[in-house]
Amino acid sequence: MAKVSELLLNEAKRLNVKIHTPNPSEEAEKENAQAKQSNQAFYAKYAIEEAEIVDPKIFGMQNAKYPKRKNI
Amino acid sequence: MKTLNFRAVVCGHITQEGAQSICEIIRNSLRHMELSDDDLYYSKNLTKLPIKTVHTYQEKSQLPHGEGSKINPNSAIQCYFQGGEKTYAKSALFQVLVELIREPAFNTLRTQEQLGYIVKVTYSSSAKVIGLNIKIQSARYGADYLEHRINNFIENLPNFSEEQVENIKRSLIKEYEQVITNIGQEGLRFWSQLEDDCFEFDSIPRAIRAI
Repeated sequence: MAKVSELLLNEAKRLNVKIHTPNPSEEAEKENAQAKQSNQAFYAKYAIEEAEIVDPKIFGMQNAKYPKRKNI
Repeated sequence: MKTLNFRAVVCGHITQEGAQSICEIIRNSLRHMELSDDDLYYSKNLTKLPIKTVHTYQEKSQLPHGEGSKINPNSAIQCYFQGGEKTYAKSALFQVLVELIREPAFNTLRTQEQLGYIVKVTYSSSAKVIGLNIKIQSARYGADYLEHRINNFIENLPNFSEEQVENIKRSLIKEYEQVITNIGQEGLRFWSQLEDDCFEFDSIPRAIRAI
């Protein structure tokens, strides 16, 4: 008698359902590498620059208005 | 611990003098030097991301145990869109936007594309800076692929009708208007103002007006 998992797998294959496997397959790695290129094309299309933060600017540092707390 | 910043919220059936004496007892029992405002400011800051730039941090995680697979099969991505310094108007805009795209994001990325078991769109407010987060956790796809699908989702966002926007605004206002049912909730609401350094205890009517 066939296992339930085998029956489900066969049925999935018959219906051409994408089977999710927990291990990163070569196909998934390839898909990921291709996606990286697509992302770069996306940035280029919208003039988004890939950058590193070398001289971080902190919010509000130019005109920091830190509220003075009252000592109670 | 040499230096400390002490803050307290006292709410409920108590007079101002009563609250002050409670704080005095706590303060006196802590032997500490007060943190300077500058030190405190630096400890709660956020880096300003330049406009139209993307900054990527990626890390490959190894599985601590398990034979065979050396790389953790799970991937996760968090796309954070920084919205700048918080104003009530900007915050209202971001909250409406988050609510508008939450359902289509879940429908597209989770239900249709089945990218992963966690798909979340959230509004963030930290150190007086607002932002929008899209998070996906996946057991099948790599982070670059997940980002690619997020970019695709953003590019193909539908046009939202005025009615949809109005419905979201109404439901957000309703949420803000919810009556507090216990003192714990009231305390948390006040405490969030201290955490964010806003000290705006009338933030709810102002947020409602902005929406």
